[in-house]
Amino acid sequence: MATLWPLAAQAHPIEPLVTGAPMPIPRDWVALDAGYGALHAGTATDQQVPLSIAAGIGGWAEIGASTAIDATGGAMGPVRVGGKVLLTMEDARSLDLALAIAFGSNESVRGALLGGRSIAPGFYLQASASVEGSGDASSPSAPARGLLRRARPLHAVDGVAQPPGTSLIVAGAAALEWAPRPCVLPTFELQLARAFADAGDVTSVLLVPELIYLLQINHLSIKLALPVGVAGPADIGLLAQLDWQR
Amino acid sequence: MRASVARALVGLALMGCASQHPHAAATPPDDQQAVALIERRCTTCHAADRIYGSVGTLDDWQALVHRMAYHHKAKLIAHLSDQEASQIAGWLAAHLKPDRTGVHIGFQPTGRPL
Repeated sequence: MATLWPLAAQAHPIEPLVTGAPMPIPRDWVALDAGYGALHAGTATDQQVPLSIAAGIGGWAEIGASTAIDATGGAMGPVRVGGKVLLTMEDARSLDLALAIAFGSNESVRGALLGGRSIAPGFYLQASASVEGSGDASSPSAPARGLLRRARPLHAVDGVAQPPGTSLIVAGAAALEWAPRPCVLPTFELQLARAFADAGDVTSVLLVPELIYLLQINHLSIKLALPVGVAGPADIGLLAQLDWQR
Repeated sequence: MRASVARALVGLALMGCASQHPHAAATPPDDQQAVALIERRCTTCHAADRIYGSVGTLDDWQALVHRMAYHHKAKLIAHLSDQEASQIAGWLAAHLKPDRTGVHIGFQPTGRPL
């Protein structure tokens, strides 16, 4: 599960797992998130347990730290520290716009631009574009391991294997959330990503149907997603996550 | 008669603010409509006591409703429309003023997320 996480930390209970959301967690709140991700590619299945903590600053920013346990290899992933700043908040005429950046202990840095807008009562559309550069060119042991091996702050899964020597990953994602009932948010996500590597570039396209259930509105949610690889190394996966903030 | 004049003045005052804030209310709804609207939209996420136990200026209420609508995504979760947000903010500003007893919703006094 490569590095195409959307943000340094994603803590909002309604934040989609792959695309992320521009909205930081509210002022003076903290958030904890724990998840499980499995991704199948070829004959291999890799598993990951992402963990993160984040804190809201003034209602317009958040900082966070995260890591992920490689459940397949039994190893702890790198630690990432980063933040998100809300540049503009949506109103009747504008949109949510945020900038996120995260630094990893594996000599990686990632930047993302996130936007979103309510298109009608009950519907919220969001998108993100991100770039990650890494100085860690150690080779993954298998394509699927490459999908999962690197820690992400949370929520995201992506289908980009990380070939040896990968130094740059560019990704774009979009998510449409619908709330037919206040606690139930069926979500549909699409992610396109490309990894640039010495051994050859890899392109990935994932469709991610997802269900977000708010156990407690604004405070506690559980998310389930089934990423399906349309192009690239990933075949199918499973993501589950519990998000808490207060 | 006096109440009607007062209501009209409040409505005009709120209309005057309409160009300054997207949630400025054009015409505050009557009490029954407003309470029903608040019950339908706001209590989806939190108890009504939290609303009726608070006081604030027009700016405070507009900022709070705006933040609920967009930051806490009441537009998504509670299907709150911009027009309804304007009506709620206007009614709360007219009825829950700072001269009443209650928790002030301004930034400093409560530290409560807007």
